[in-house]
Amino acid sequence: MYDLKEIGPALFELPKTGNMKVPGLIVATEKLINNVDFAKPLEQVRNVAHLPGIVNYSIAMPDIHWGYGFPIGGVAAMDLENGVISPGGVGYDINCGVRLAIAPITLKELDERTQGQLIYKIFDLVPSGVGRGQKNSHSLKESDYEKIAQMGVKWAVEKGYGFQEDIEHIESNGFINGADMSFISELAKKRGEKQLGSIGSGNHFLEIGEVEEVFDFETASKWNIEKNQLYLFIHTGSRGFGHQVCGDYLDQYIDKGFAEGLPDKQLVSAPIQSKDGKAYFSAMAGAANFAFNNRQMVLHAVRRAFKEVCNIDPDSIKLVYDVCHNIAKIEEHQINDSLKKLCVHRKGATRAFGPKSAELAKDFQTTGQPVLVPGDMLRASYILAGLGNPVTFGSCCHGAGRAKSRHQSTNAWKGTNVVEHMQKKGVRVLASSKRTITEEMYDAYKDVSDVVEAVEKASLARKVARLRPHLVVKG
Amino acid sequence: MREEKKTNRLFIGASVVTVWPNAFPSEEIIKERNRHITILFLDGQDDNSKNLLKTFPKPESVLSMAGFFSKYIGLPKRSPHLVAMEGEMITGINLENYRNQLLKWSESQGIDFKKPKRPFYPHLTICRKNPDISKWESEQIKIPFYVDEINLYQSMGNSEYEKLKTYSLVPIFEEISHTADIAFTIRGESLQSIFINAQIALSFVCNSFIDFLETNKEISSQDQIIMQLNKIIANVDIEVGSPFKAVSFHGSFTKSENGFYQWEMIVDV
Repeated sequence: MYDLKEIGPALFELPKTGNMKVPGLIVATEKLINNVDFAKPLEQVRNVAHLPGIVNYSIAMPDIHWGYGFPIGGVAAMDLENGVISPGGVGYDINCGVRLAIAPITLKELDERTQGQLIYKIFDLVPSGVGRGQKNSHSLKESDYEKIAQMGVKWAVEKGYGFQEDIEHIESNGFINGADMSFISELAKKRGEKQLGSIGSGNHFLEIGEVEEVFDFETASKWNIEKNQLYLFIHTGSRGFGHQVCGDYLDQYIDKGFAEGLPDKQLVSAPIQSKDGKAYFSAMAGAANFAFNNRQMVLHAVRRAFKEVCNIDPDSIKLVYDVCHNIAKIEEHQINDSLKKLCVHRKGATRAFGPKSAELAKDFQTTGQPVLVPGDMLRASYILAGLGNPVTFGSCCHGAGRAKSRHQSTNAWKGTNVVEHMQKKGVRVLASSKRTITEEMYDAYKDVSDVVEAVEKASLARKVARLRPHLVVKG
Repeated sequence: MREEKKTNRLFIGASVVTVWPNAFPSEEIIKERNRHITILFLDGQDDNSKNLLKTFPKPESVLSMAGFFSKYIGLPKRSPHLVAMEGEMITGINLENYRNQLLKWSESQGIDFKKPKRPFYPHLTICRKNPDISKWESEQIKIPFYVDEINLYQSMGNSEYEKLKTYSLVPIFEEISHTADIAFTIRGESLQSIFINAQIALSFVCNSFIDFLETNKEISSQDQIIMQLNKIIANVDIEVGSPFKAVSFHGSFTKSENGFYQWEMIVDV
């Protein structure tokens, strides 16, 4: 089906055709391939393979779905010397990502009433949904932006939004080197000035649940994770600030004619080493550092809610990890027996470095990095440990991946009280907009267990624990 | 000679698609199926004229026209006894010209009715039953709409209307399935109208966009449409918040069978 050739467990090659510079590589099981419409995403995998300097493969993760330009769940590594960087290959929500924290209690220790108070307190403290920024906060000034660019997440921690030990539990220590605010427009700064510490809308969320099952006790114990323990997930990115950065560079690149000859304009790109390429990288790094601070400030507000409602000390809510899933990073990878610097685009894909990776903090040297895979708001989410598989440049899936469009999901749930429906299933959902809930209902997504099965089979990551959501705030 | 019995009042009107408010200031409102913008009143007619009227001229274009309702207003203005939503047309064929065309046609067919004295005033009557005008005027709205049908209506009394003849129009946009994002097919007769109709589509999902409508922008390319839409998204985001991140550079214009442009607009959310 789809002209795919099986080349390993859960690995399929999409042969080179036309002007593709490399073949495609699809991480999936036959079950996923047969059950989901892969035609459009595969066309996008082929399109990405046209980009100059792409190395080895245009890669698709098992949660792949149809995006624009790159598919969601796409990975492309470009040679740093002669490759390109593509703003569309990162996406509008630069450094959209997920962070996972663990509280020192079980969910069952909180009675129904307290759970309700907790979720409403979080809903109150963490702005979510359209237009909900930090009403009472001061606007970010130019000097704040400068510090965010130069310090990454340390900016928020030094301002009291968290703890020093959080920093080592964030991908790249919450800092992408090379950020320069002079490459970011005033419009982007204006969009972002009141958005730090907010969730936003769309598929962004904040979720509380319990660790349902532990698969790898040794790793789970090293990460302070136990069965039945209460977890919280935060999914958000760089908000309007990042969206504007991406849009600004797409406009510039298109105006300069960089999209000529590409099969999709949204793939427009510039040589990484060119002035235009470097400018985008500097701006993107600034937006990525903004996003790390955003998630840090959201966690801080959630810790505050736990203190106020449950009298749980903020420092006892431990950050397990924070991963980016929309980003381009300069990394070293083994290519044909030699180490090569590459610009790895991950759009809807998570880094999954394995044990002994120099990039990882000491807590993860023996385990590999935590790979956070949120599923949907009913069935499950997973914590995996990265295996650093070179085939995917140490990358893994980022979620379940959509199976239905928002339109289809909204139509399917028309006339149903979705909040009541979820409550009956044991999940309390709050959102500023009902449309968001219907668009994001659980059956709009693939079963995340199927996706995780594929990445395990392909040796990208291994299962550590499965999580079950109970309280959800949607954007 | 026996005078032939006349029908109830006839008129030509436009039915609209809009995002109706969840609640109105009064519960006594006209049923959704009966709401319309009147284009031309035709009085009561005998059966011959009624049958002739069923052949009224189609609008010049089959593409729907669009605009927005800007406020509730009591009518008639001097001593109001009903509430209407005042409409402003911004894209598509000019309804006033169409009314003039209908007038000329009906005159040429010898159909007798009281000719309108006032200029065309697009509005949609929403409440006829003892409205508290001040209450309506204090709860204002601004919502986009497009016309989906031009109908010959016959009044059945009690704000109920029967459609005697319908010309269906092609909608200026349709929401289509896209796995990750929101997508629309946008239709228009020019780059300019594609740009405006795309804004109308966005405002159907997020009403705030109606306050940021740009209708006078010179548009010279498809890329410019996307860039300008993204500027509007940025402005909405700054002022009130936007559920849309951006419109992607995707899809190209195609020409439909009816001769207008179509564009698949994908909006990252």
